[in-house]
Amino acid sequence: MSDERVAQYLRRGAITCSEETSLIFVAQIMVVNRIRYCVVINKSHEVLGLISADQMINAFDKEFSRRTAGDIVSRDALVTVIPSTPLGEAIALMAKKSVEHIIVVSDRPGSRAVIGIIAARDIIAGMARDGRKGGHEGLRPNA
Amino acid sequence: MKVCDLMHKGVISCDTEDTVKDVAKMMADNHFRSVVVVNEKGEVWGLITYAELLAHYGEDLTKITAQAIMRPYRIEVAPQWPIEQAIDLMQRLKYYHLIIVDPHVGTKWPVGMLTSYDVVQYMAQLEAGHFEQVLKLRPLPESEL
Repeated sequence: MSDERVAQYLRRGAITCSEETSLIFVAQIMVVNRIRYCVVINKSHEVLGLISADQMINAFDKEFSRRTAGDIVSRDALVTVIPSTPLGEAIALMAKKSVEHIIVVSDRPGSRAVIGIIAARDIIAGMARDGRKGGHEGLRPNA
Repeated sequence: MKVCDLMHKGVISCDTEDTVKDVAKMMADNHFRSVVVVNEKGEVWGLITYAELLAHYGEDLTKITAQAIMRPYRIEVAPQWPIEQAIDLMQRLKYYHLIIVDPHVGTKWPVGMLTSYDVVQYMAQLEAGHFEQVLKLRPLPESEL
């Protein structure tokens, strides 16, 4: 296994919505921004969780237009990593929870601020680029 | 609304003997999240998504074939299905990539792909001209362009 860390594949910044945002608006946020996730935060900017496109499918029923992001975000299943988490660990988390995005939070003590997202797509792109070598080796031009 | 209105027309497909490295390249280059594995007759054989690839992170991808990691695929969804029927299937099977096969073209011949993201576009209730529609939701008071 290589010694890659989450930081190497970190996408800085995350698209967020509040817990009162209606699910239709969440769908619009996804479509307009061409993303497959939306991070849900509350009024005091604490992370509540992440809604993926797959979860939107599961929430689709007759009540769909009346529900909000807070109703379907799974609070107990909130998974976050920090930039120094080994990439293998993050991938294991993705497989366990069958998700494609994990929230990356700040590792400063006492701070839970969202600094970005780690996406399966970026990891796959890294695997396509340099196979079994670490991402940093593949990116260095003359190494 | 029918499946054929929302699906991606055409799929990215690979051979059973292609290496996983090539499959990963196909996905990254084409910005597709899934590759259909077809057999020698061009029929749907299996599906490879991010989850299957991530399970082999850190291994030598040039030594694994698509056949070895693919998820065998047995569901047949026709383009004429109403979208609600497809959503119901996704919810029941927890399967968010549906390969669309056209029975008129030939059995198990892939013609398109319907993913959860395509359905989210339907949920967003936006017709053509996405951005205009979104802007109409909350018009600014002075905006008279």
